[in-house]
Amino acid sequence: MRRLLAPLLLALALLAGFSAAAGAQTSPFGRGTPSAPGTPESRPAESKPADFGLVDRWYAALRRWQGELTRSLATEVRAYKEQGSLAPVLGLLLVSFLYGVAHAAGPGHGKMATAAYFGANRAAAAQGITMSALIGVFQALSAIVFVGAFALLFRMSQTETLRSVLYVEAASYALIAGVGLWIAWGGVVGRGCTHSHGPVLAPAGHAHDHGHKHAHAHGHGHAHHHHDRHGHHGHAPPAPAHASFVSMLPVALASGIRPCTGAILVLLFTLSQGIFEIGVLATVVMSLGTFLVVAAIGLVAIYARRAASSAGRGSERLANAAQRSIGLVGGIAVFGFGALFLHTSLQQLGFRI
Amino acid sequence: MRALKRLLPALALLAPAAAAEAHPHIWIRATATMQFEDGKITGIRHEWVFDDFFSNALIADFDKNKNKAFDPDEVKELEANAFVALKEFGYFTHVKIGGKAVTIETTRDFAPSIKDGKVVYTFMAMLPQPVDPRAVQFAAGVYDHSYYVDVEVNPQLGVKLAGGGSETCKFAVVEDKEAPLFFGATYARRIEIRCDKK
Repeated sequence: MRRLLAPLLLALALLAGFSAAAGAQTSPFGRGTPSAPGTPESRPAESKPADFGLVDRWYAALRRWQGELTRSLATEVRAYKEQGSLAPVLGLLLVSFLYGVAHAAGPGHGKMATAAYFGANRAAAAQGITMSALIGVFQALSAIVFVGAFALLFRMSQTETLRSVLYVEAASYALIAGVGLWIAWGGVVGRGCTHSHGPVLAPAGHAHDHGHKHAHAHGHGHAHHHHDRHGHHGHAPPAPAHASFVSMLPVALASGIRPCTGAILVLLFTLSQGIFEIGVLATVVMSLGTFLVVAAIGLVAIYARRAASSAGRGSERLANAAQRSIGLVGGIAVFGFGALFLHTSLQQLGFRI
Repeated sequence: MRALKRLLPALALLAPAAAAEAHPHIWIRATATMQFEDGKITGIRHEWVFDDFFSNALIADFDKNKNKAFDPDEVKELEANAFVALKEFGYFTHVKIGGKAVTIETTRDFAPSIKDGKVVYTFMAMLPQPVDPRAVQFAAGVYDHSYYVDVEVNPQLGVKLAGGGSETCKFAVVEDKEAPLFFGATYARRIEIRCDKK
């Protein structure tokens, strides 16, 4: 339990720190004090290939879609407020669910981190689901706690609260970048590899089944049991890193702590309309949508990893090498996304980088 | 920060994916009217309609007496807290005169209102001095570079020309290749003004 407390406290401390910083900001229309006007990029016009047509169209579609979904969220809330009947609530929940799915379908919100993590760590399907559930829970909690604390407790104005979200986002992106490095480092030092002495007698699938059971029994499975059973004995080999609950926490926390912008918007909206509980409900449903998408991706990563390791069954070295590279490459990619989003987030805060 | 900056070119590879992550917190539907006077453009008259959520937030924060309108003292409060600071962002108005970026420093006639539950800002962004689009190339974009605010200008209906001497002028909305967004995943839009000689 103590091990659980540390990361949670750290996250709370981070949040507190950032909210303090946020409180110090004046918020014009929610915008902060710093920085001069954004000068246009000084890149020469010719430096980019002209043909970004597809990406540009995709981006435009995405933008429209995001806008539409957000708009319909507002419409449903308003309908409920005006009619007070059940139908708009159901409509709101449906839109919220779709929003959660759509939001999770873009990068961020932990899919990359989850995939990289499960690509690099031996895990059972149940753990993949646990991880995604954790992300979903963190995400809902973070939005509700955030709006609850800032708007209700500290009596911060709506525009200020909306503005303050950016600090939480920046913090969460920094965390994601950190988790990426951590996963990559795991790839370098070979965390997650099997180091069994002697030939691997059990087919890979078999070994995994044991891992599965153990994961349920202990939360984090050590592998020596099945070694014993197969007649290996003595100096327990270093435990191959099964995904443990404790090691999943940082990934789940970093991915989940960034509140969904849609959730924040709905919460603030319903709060000012005096129907906060409806906002909370919508937030929970949104997280459910996110949870399902992340779970699906986690499971794909888990089964892909299994398939890879049973394909390389003959050569443990090969399997380990593959797993290490997944960890390394995946971790670096996660770091890259984290850094990129952090950069954007800081720009949104008005820092000129 | 410098290390991060060095990483950016590499990160640009992730741009298309990152574009999906870009999420505004505020949406604006904007209409930009190029205001002419004696054939010269003096400024851009903006009309910004905010999305439901941000409108609601502004109303909750500033319509203190809840009469669904901004009274004079409420307007003052709103202007001080939710408009003045836009100056630091050039009022999202990116003007280029003869290819050179010009910063908008002053505005006139700021008037916020509430229409159908949505907050509307109207104001005029003043050019430092009137510009003759027949003599020098004039272009303007309305966007937030950081995408905190998604400013949507309809390429046909969102741009207007008004005032004396604007009759022979036309506009075109083009991609501004000098203003990449998301590391080049997309580009800001630029309104170009072309006028026939008098």
